[in-house]
Amino acid sequence: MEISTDIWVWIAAIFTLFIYSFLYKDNPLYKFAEHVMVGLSTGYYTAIVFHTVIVPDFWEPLVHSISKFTMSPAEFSSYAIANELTTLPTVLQDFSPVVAIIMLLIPALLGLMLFTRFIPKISWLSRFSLAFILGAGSGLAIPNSFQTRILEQLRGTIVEDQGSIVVPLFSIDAWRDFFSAPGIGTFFEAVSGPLLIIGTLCVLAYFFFSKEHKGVLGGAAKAGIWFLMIGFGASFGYTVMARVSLLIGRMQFLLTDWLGIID
Amino acid sequence: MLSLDRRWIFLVEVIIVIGALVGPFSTGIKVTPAVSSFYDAIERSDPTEPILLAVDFPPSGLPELEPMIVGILRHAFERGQPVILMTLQMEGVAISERIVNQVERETNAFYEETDEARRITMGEDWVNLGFRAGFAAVILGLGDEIRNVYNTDMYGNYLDELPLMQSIHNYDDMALMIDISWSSTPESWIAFAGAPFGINVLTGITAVSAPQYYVYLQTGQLGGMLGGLKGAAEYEVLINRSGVASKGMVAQFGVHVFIVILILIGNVAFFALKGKRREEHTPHLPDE
Repeated sequence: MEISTDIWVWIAAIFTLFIYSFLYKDNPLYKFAEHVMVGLSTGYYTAIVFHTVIVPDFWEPLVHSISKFTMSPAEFSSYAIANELTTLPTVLQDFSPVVAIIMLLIPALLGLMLFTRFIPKISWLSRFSLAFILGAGSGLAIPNSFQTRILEQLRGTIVEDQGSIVVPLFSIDAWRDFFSAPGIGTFFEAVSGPLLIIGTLCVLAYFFFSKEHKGVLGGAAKAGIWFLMIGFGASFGYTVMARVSLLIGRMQFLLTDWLGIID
Repeated sequence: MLSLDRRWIFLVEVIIVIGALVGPFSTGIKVTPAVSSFYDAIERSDPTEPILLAVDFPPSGLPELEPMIVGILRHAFERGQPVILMTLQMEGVAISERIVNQVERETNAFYEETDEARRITMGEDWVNLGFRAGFAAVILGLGDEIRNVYNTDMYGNYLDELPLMQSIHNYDDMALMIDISWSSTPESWIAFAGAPFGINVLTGITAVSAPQYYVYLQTGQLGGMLGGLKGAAEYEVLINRSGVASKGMVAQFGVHVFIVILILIGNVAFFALKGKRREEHTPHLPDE
């Protein structure tokens, strides 16, 4: 057993205990740790954004562009290559410095307009920035998300890829295998595909509100609730595991890195 | 029983976890298909091509996700396969830097002990590109030309000066990509890297997020998945390097048993109380 002599390990351990003290009841030590964490996170985010976004994507390209204001696009491109201006976004090298400056100032202006949210009189200006963010985000996301979340998932409810071959989820072969060699393995193999199809249809029936849930639709919707509940149960089980993992992680830190009780 | 102070439950959980970690206990770890697919995908990949490893989580994901990154780096370095680290989440910069340095030190110490001439070095066996803002735009940009997104690595070295990066331009030059995440970033990698560029996407995620990714495994959009600490422990079994995840499984088992017992007791107490109340409120007719 060797207790750590590293001051940072001690600080981390003490703050861990401060946070866990909340489990007993709310107290000033917990509040102190909470506020320190929020402050540190904000400082960290600001530093990272400044050094990885503001400086390389805006400030340095702007300084280079202003300093070579009178160059033509070809001269500017040659200058960027000759001086290994890797901080200059490649796209800007195809334009004259004047155009490059405009291309840098537009996003900077849109970014600054977001801060008008804090000034009620001109807060409407932030809507232009938000419209741009939403428009660009949707344009990027919709085609790819449609492919991956709808088309591929729809396909996955009908067929399954098994290496180079594609087999239907409702597989006659799987049932034939089950009847020729009955067992738990072959049973689950045969039943899992149809169960997935039925489960999907039943859950969809539950969320179909254009017709009253009566008769066949009502029965399917009720079965859909069961499928949903089983899904939620699995999620809850995983959530418990996740939360326990966090406790284990902290305990491993306290017992290993701090107190040195375990190797 | 139903009015039990919850602090007793917290206390018992802490005692179980400490007992499980300190005590001489061990538990069997069964490898699930999702994890074996993950392992097989790396084993089948060309070791001369790098793995793109995205570290997309903050410190709160460390207990579950750190063992995964450690395992992946050990696995890759053992195969002689280079790794390109990057992050879409700001905190990932410090996390990835710490873990890769730790595994590098540990691997080189092992090589020294075993008198192997081989050494793991930054620039040849691994590169850390760091953080770039933009999310979907970053993922899409990497499919075109890495240099358009990352001019330098996180230490300011030009990519063309790093031996590993000289011939790497986009996803076509990489074996596969692994996203270690605590949020929905694997969905973005599937949508913006897997679907349009065809790179095999694997993921390691926290247990909370795991259920939502099984659908992507079933459709083959994900090549494999490590779900939570259990997934990390299974992976440690496959790479034959027992680590913190495997040790944590005993504690997981103990706490889960405790929670199951509590759920059972809670339900029995609830129904017993309900029955008792019903009995109390049933009007008793006087005997004639």
